[in-house]
Amino acid sequence: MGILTVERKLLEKNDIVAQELRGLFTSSGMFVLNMVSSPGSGKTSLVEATIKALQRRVRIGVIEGDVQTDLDARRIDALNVPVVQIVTHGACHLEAPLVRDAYRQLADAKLDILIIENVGNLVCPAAYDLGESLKVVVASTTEGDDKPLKYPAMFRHARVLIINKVDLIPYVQCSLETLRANALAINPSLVIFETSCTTSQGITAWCDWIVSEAASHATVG
Amino acid sequence: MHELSLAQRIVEIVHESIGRHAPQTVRTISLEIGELANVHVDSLTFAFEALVEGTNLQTASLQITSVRVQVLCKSCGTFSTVDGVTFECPRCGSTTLDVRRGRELDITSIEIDDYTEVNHGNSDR
Repeated sequence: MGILTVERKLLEKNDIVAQELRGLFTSSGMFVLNMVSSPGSGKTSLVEATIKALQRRVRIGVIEGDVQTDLDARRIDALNVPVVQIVTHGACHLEAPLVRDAYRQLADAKLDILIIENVGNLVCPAAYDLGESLKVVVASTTEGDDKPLKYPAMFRHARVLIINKVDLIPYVQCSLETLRANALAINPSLVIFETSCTTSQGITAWCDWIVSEAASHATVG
Repeated sequence: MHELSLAQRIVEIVHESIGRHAPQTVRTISLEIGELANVHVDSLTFAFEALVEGTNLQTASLQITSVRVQVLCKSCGTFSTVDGVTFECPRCGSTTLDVRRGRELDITSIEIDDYTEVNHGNSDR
């Protein structure tokens, strides 16, 4: 009988590629957002609103991740920005090698900002580093105010929380105050925005923040 | 449900560690899994057992140690374990904390016999 000491990380392959991507993104001065949420929180609508608000100010591109279909990529393509769709065929999250392959198709676009829209899932995407500058978690008011407590890892790993669909507050069982408190209990340094893609509430504040963060990121990088 | 791909990585790492065709019987694979790693232990065990059935790893079982979330307070330097989901220093109440443990997804060791007890025909899997 013998014991082999191994000490290896299960996600080492992903982490190596993620570090390679982070180096690539940093050296090209690109600010990269990994957007995560449950399905139906309005991520794609937020990406569309962000593009519309920013595309005259910065060069912006998108990598879309979905289990099936290129429906999201078609929505983004209609706005005339570079977009690549990753179809995971059942996998519940994006992994760094998939993003590396997709990014090769965007490498000539000389982007200032790259948005990676992850597969809708509040569990698995938390574990996979994609080389992003930061994770943005989107929680919509229709999901209720307890999501941060149920999925703490995702809210702990994120830098930004976007509370979306705030225009629906009168019709749903969700307290903005409770949602904020729950999220801040898990991650007190979260930067929080309240948005509605229907009324455009909060979109300007969110987009101004991106531009300012991207500028300081490029300076640091 | 990324437990299946994690189970595949366990199999790969074990093969790399013991040598793919090594005449050894693997008994126990020890893992450390943090509470913030979002892994369902029963699903991981189920996926692993399904993957290794009929292979040279079918004698192996997973021994999983759960790692509590431990944080270091940046204000007062206190090391503490997080209970529940509230990240707050129990000594000074600060919420500026560094997560030091709880994200682990590691294979730590593999226990093997020095000889092959069962000769499996399809060990190339």
